[in-house]
Amino acid sequence: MTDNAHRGFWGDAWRRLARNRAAIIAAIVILLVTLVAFAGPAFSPHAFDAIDWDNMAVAPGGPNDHWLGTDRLGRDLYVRTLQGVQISLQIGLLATLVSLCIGVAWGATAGYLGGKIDEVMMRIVDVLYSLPYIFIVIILSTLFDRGNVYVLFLAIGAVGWLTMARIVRGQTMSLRRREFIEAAVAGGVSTPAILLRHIVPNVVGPVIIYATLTIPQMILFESFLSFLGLGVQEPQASLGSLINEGAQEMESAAWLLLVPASFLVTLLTCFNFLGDGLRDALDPRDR
Amino acid sequence: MNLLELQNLKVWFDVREGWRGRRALRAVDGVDLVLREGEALGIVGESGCGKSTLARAVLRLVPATTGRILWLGRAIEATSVAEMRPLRRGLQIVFQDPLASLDPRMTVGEIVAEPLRVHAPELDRAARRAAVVDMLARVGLPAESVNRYPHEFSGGQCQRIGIARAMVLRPKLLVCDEPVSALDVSIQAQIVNLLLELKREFGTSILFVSHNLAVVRRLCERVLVLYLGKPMELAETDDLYARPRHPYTRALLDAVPLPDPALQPARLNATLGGELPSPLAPPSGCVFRTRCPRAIDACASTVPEMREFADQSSGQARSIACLRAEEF
Amino acid sequence: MNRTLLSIRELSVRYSTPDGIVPAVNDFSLDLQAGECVGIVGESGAGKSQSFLAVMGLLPGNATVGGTATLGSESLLGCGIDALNRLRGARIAMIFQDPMTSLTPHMRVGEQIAESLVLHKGLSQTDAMARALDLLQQVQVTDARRRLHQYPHELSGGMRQRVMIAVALACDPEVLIADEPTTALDVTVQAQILSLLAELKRERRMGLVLVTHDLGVVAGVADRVLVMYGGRVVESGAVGEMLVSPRHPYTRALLRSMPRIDDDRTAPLTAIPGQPPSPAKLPSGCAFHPRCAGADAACRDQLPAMLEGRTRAACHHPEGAS
Repeated sequence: MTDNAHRGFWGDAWRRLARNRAAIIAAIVILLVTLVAFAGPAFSPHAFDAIDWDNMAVAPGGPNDHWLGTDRLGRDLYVRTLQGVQISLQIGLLATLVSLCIGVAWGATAGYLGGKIDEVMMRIVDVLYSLPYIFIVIILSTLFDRGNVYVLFLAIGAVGWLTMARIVRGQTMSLRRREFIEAAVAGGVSTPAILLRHIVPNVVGPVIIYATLTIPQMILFESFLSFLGLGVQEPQASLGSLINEGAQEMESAAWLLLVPASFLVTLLTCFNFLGDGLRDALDPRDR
Repeated sequence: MNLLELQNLKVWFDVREGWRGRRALRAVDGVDLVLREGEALGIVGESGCGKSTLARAVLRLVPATTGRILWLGRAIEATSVAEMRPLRRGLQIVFQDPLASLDPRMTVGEIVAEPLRVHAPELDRAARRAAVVDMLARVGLPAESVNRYPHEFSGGQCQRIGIARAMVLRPKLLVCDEPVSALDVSIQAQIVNLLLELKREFGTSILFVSHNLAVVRRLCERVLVLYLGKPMELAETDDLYARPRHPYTRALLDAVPLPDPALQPARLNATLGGELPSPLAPPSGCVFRTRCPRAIDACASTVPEMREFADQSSGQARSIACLRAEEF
Repeated sequence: MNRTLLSIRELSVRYSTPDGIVPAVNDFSLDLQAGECVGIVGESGAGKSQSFLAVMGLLPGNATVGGTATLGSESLLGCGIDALNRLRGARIAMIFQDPMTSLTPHMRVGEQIAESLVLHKGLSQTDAMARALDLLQQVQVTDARRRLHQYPHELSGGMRQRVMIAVALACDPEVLIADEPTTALDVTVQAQILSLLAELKRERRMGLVLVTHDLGVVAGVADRVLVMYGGRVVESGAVGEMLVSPRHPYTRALLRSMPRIDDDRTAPLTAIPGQPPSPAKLPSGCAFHPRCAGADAACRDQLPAMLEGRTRAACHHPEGAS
């Protein structure tokens, strides 16, 4: 038939993505940063919470083994920043995963079943949307022990599923009218099977795109919470808490802000480029 | 026993008109039909005649408003989704848009195998695959197609895949909703020949919905003409095309362009005038009367029923819904 | 007496795509006379629409157009956007297959017709609307005064197509290109529109190009027919010859594979095997050779030249193929 046989949807998309240099570079940078974040601390002799009384608030490049300097309490910034990246990435990914699972299930069901069920399900989403999420997170973090990072993840994810649900519902509703769904119904395929085998694989494209763009949002949200003091607790560090500390010392120890901030900006930019690239690659142009 | 019987089938849709309330869109408005085993019946008409809705109503993809649908003697117009499922094994459909009717994320093999998974779960993977490859071969596609995706194929090939999927369970009835309209002319003939061959080989009955009168004539033994949801004429194919009696059938056949430069220019001048009335406000009495060259006053007050009409010249039976049928 | 209105010579259209250069049209030539209707017949990928979109300057940016196209003494290709806009709509107009997407959905029908008049003829809005009413009546739109103020979605498919014709004819163009104008319409409406086009062509002595895949449509209106395949013209001639005894194997096969309502219904349809080639993957030599029963080595290796005869056919063995 063709010389590019079995190219399928993913092969095609991969080819398009590979041509987008910004997206590929962004993906590589993300991978490198992740690698460094998890493997990097092993290279430094310092622990993330170890206080070095001799080297307090030392700038980077000094004649010591604090490669990126230390903070006011003498803790190594290199290790702390990398730990911060670890936590931020984990939060971003986990929260996105949670919002994805709930959002896809909710949205696909509402979109496919339609009618009263759809109305009820989406009104619930509307109501939840109107609740101020900051307060929910505050309440949740006071209910569980503060700084239980995983509860934080879930809380953020549980709030983030709303938009995903709306997107998936929209996609499902337009898919529902496509003839291959009609063909499946005419063939006697049961509703759960249609949802699982026909709807979900076809919404995967927009879901991936949106998820990739959600990760930076989640990271930013966590940073914001940490900025408010509601995120990870001392002595743990996330990019947000580090930026919070750094902002307070901006005038005297600028590196305390610049180092974590540059990591954050780099990550966010790369995820956004990748998300854009994925959107172009997965968008069916003439289908 | 007849394979399929429709008794006074009506499919009406509720249309909301802003704050003015609801009106009924009478998509199908009283169709009677009998389909026998191994028979091909064509349903023709122009837009708004209800032929696609009729096809979907037969398959219970669209609920019937009133009337009966009898499948193998059993009334199915009100069966539940669960009860309908096992019956679907015998009732399959081929759609108009070849590519859109195939799930773009599934391979051809998975698409054609799906009916087997649903209705023949006892088959193991190897048996399923063998059945799929066999069916693909019968529709003229090579075995390697199983690993390919729909977008790698042309329109005509996609339609073959759709037909393979529909036929893999050897259904008793194949409903075809404009299956060749979206295809190039040279490919249409291939698909028509394929359908004829499958019908011969498996004895499948075909309900062929189309606006293409020339294609219907090749494939079907009987033809039903619809206009605004109402039946106009039902007759054996030879009879209908050679001696159309209903004024609408006549107008329809006169409008089909003939690739004959000696005849066609004159035929163009004898076109049917007027516009299709809105399906939301069909004319009273006979729905065709606003454009009918032979309408009389009685046509506005009486709704003509389909009645049997024994044709003296051919001896074949036909049904026609026209007050003045005897005169023509 | 019959002047040549539109002259197209060796037109070619090539697309630059990430996968390479795709030739959509090659060596397309046509001389359109006043009062003449030329039918362009072909299946998808044949290049029939592309040729005229190129002449009208409506192709996307990655298309390169070669050859010449002149309207009288003015060139349509490579002339700059201002010159093109003076000609388009005023002297050469085009109507398309789907009137719903070709008419502006948020403008009233009358305004759309008037727009062209205001732009090209400098009429005032009032005069232009009066003329628009007149045009609607010419294209046989019933209840024209009311329709003038309606939106496209309020009209039926046939009405919309008539409106599109009115828009196209507003400035009395010399040439009208109709690209599959009736394909999306019911067969009874199709007959009305074709009849209208034939009449308008006669009255205005316009040159009419009718692009279609339907040989029946062509038989009713066209004087001459060009058959395209694989981006090239494979046969051309008078409609009487082309539809009754064509010489090119493709035209012959096409006629044999078309069911008619007046032929022997039990006779099998001789389908053409295979499918029409996509422009990106054209066969070598004669593009039809993989599907032609009478193809030989010459057909595979060499592009056939146009051979004169009853019709002009680009074939190494015209009429000899069964």
